[in-house]
Amino acid sequence: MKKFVSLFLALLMALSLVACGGGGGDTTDDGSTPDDGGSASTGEDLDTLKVIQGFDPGTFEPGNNDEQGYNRIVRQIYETLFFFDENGELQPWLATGYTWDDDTHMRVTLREGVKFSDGTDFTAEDVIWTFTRAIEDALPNSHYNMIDPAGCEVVDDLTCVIALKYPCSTLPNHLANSQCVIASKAAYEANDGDYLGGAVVGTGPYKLVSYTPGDMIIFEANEYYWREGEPKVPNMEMRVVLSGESSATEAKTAAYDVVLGANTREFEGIEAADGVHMEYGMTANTVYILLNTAKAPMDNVKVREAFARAINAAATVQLAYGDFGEVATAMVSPGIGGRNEETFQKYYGTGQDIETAKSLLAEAGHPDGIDLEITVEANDTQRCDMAEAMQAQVLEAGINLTVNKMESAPMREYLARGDHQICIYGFTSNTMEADGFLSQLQPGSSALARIGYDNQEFFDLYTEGCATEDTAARDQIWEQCLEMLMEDYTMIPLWHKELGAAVKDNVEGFWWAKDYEQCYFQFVSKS
Amino acid sequence: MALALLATIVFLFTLMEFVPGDPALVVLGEGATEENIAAIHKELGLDDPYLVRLGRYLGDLLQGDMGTSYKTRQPIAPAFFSRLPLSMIIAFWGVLVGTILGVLAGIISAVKQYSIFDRVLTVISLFGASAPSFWLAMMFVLIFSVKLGWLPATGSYSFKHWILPVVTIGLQCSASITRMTRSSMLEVIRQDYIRTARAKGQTEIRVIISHALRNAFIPILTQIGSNINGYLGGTVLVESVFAIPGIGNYVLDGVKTMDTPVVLSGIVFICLMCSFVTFFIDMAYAFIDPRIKATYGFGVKKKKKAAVATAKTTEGGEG
Repeated sequence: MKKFVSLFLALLMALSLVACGGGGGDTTDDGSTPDDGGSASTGEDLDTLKVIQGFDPGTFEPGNNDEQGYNRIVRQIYETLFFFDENGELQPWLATGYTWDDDTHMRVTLREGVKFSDGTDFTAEDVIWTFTRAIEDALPNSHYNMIDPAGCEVVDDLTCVIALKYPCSTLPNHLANSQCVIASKAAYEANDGDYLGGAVVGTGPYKLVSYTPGDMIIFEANEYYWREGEPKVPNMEMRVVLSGESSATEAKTAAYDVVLGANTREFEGIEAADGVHMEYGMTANTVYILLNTAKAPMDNVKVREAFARAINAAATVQLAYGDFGEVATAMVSPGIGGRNEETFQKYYGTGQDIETAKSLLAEAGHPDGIDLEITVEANDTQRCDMAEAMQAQVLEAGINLTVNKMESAPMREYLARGDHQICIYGFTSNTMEADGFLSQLQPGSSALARIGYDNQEFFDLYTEGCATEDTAARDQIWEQCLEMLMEDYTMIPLWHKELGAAVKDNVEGFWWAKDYEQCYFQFVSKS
Repeated sequence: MALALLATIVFLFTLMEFVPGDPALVVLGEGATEENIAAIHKELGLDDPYLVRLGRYLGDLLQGDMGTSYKTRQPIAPAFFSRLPLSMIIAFWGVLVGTILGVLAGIISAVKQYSIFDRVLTVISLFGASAPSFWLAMMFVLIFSVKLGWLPATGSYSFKHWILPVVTIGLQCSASITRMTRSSMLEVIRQDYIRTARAKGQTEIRVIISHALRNAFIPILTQIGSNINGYLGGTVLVESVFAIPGIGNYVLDGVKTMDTPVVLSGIVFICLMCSFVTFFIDMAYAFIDPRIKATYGFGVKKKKKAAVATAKTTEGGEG
């Protein structure tokens, strides 16, 4: 009997090893899984783009959700007035140009001949109505915070004036964000705002055909689309796969043309699979350690500086992300206006310095060490790994760091109340200038409580930057704002985020938009 | 049943009150302003007292309104009912496969007690009971999808897509049914009436199936019912690995995003279905065991008529 049990267990172990070993290279002859359903097909269908992504939209209301994943879906149907191209340069899109009447009124000229997917004309009224509705319905869109709906004006079908509560010279950049897509007023009114049905009408390359909650979104080309020859693939099946591991598995089977949201730890395995490769792109997002300046003992700048000296950011990032993305070399990611590597070097360039950390703690009145707490989102394994790595690093300097792992929703409230001492969080400079995230650190925003910063000089400087039309001059102001945050040790940049997508070898034209981690499937083709 | 449901709703509603976190912050995301937070509180009625909100929720539910999701601002019912069939397919087919495998294995184990078959099947059922479902699911995907390429890795679009999820649930479910069948059968096959049946010259298969299994089936049926109830709302991990949009993940996502109406409606509906399953299992007892049937009063009229007829005949005979 014992022999039999041993044999059985040995067989079981062998089975597990076979299952775990490699796995990347073996797919069926044609590179697809042999299913006969909605996943892959044995014959390549060049007219349908098959995509996996990790967000279930639940609705197709423009601006309903501020998450990148949501807007990645909705942006295929609706479009923005401006657009950031592959190089992160601002381009006209539904708008052809703009002029400033004064520092709070921007006159926008719209593109002629643009139609919605129901064949009706796109007009200035749709633009102003979109902004007004979003503000009145309190949709989660901070890009509209500065817009004064009462002052906005429809001049004619192709001209409107957008009024602002305060000067904001980066308004076109804000309006390029995929949260600021324009919807059809007529379709909304005719369908009683049904954003799972008739109200889903945009000017975008695709129109919605069907949506199965949690599972599949089917698109087809918008026959009235204003850009000739796009979308390059007329149909698109977008599957919802929430698990990063499952997405990675599908990527390895090369059953889908594009797979977004695969677990980063699986990228190497995907690269090794036949018929598929990874497309990487740096983003405008940087992950920071946020130090709550309003919470004792972090209200002492010496304690904050001591913490900054006690950690080894490079080793922490390497542990969590390996070579994926970049260890932070400035307060904002490469390509973002206001980035300055020299000032970063000045404050954080020395790296880990335990002795300085100890002496700073002693100066702050903690010669025997200090107890601190770092809050991270429990579901974010990389951030949890980073927090635990830092826990070990700072111990040498006498900092006893407790890692507080919280679920997303309670954590948001905990941080908004300013109850934390330290947390790890990412900010996106989605206007391709530093104001994209600096705007979230202004009075009235719940994100400000994460650093508890109360510096009127900083707020005034930001306001001055907003009012500055010259880009170079504005960038200098953003540099100063960022330097203030570093000088006061309010936040320590850790990692410049990178994204990866598994793309089949016969697919071309895929690229990641830097500003808000978007991808535009209208440019993607199959051969 | 109605009282149990009401108690469940009130308990869950109260429980959600104590979950930390402000739904408005989840709805509004990173750029939430104090002004917008107040607007969302007003829109969702979050500032109303607990009893007002509970009353409103119960009133809506009585009218068949499952509510509106905080997160998507869309009615919950369409999203929920599009997921429900998928969860039911996994639960019922998984349990069916598990029952067939488990009952067969349990019978063999009991009839051939202490044999090599009994020991092997006991080890397998222990493995099935202790192996986490997500691990089993991932192993199957790695072997049959990634390595061998025989079956699709994820999805729910065809018969082939369902094989791996159903087998995963079936294997896990079969473990408990095997053990229950074995112990229950062992108890029954030692009874006198089994010996009598054998003595009457009935075939061994007939003795096992008609006499032993039928009498041993009540606890097995209870186990089957409990498995169906468990898998109706509890296949979150399997749904996750196979990317099947069932109600388990929908409710779990609602918990993560503080979407109270989604969580409440999901769990209340799962409770309702479990109540029905339990009710049908109770009914099924009557068709297996005549003693239970008698307590429900089934066939009483027929028996009474027969008794009256017998009595009349007897009276006549005496006269």
